[in-house]
Amino acid sequence: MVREQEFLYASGRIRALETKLLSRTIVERILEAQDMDAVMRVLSETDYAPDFEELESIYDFEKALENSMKRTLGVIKESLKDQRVVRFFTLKYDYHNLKVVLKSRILGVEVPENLTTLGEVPVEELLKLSKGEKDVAVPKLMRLAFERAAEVYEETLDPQQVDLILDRALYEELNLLVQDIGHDFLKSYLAALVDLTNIKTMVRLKYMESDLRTLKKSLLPGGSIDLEFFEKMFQEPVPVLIEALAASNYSKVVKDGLENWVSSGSPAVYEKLVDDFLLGMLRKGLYKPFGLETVVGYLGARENELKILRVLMVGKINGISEDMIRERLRDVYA
Amino acid sequence: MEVTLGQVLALLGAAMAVFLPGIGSAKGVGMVGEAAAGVVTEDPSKFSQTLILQALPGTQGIYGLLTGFVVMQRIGILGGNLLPLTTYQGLLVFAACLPIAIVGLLSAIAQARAAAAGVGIVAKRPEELAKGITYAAMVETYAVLALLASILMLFGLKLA
Repeated sequence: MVREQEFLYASGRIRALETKLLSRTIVERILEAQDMDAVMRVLSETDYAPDFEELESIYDFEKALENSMKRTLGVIKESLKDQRVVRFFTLKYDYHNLKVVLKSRILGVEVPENLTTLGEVPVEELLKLSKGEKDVAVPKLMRLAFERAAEVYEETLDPQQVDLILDRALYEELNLLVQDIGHDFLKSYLAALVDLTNIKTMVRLKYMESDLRTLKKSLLPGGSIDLEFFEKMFQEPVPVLIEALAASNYSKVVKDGLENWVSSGSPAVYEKLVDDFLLGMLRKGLYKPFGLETVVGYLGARENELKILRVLMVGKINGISEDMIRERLRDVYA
Repeated sequence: MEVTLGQVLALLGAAMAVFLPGIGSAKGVGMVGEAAAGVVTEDPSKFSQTLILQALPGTQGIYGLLTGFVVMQRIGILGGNLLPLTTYQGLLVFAACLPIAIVGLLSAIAQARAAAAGVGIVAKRPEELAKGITYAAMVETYAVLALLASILMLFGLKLA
């Protein structure tokens, strides 16, 4: 169990940092910018200025986003004695790297691309693991997941199995981490994240006319909705699912998101509503004077900000219309 | 000189009036200080404003010390002539110390939480510092009331 008072310093620091989060006005101005130069001018007024200045080409904007997130993670890590809360956010980057490394091995690529520097396990160690060296500094759970994924791939020769196994392993470890931290806020956040992801997985697999076995393998553990519920709903049409979840916390997200999915054939609106719902949960951190909520809320807000910028940059670079971008744009935290 | 149980109880009361609010204030000032240090790391210009908030939970310790002094003066320990108190007199002094001892400890921590929230106000809207101070200062009321009760009781006791 973590004590609220361990977060005093970090919370004070975050209160000051929250003032530098992107405001709705900034997002609007980027959205209305005529060209990329105008976008860069707006960004130069924000906290992202140093990261974007370093870029050689605007197409590398992902690098700038990564650097800015790295800075944030560094600030929060140095402000906390107990790093487990930060681990809740960085674990997914390590599993991402794990996937990239294993898939590169499968494809026979020497130097993997798309690795992120936001993880906490050094990439060199992951590469050593993939070369089959013993004595590598990779945490045990990750190593086991990697070995299992590699084994299953060799049996099935299906690269999708790698994703399924490593995603499941990530969520199993997240569940363990959250149990270990033992904070209700984090528990309910993870449960909502899992539930909403499972709903999406189920609907997607329905559209792909997949079978029950694939569904069982794809559903993530740790949600508040039983896995049996999904297995039962898998046979039913989407409106029945919407009806069945009408009394849950997710009723609005599920109704608006899935109805749009059915009519448009694209999960984009559902994904946006899910992100906004989860951000709404995180906003508790904005109103709590200090505590774990403040830290989790801020880190979640920063990740959300990167998503907003990603949608904006991709949209702007490809000259997509303002309305189309707006439809996919997430809400801001503060 | 024969030490009486009454004297021991009276001195114990004085000690409690000093150390319990003292603990509360130390903890409270520390809490607000931590939150303030976080804000100042990012924005050093907020130092003076947050310092005012940090000082607020410190008053309980002073009230406790004040009460302790009144006891010491009343039982004559300050002049070196400790009064020969009976057990009941000692218990009366002890009882009179309880309000500030207990309310001082708890209100300092409660006030620190409000002040730490005030530090958040300063981080975002420094012009609203006064509001942050007011919220935290409301808690002060109950520490003052407890001090008042303890002091009135102590002055009302007939010890000599």
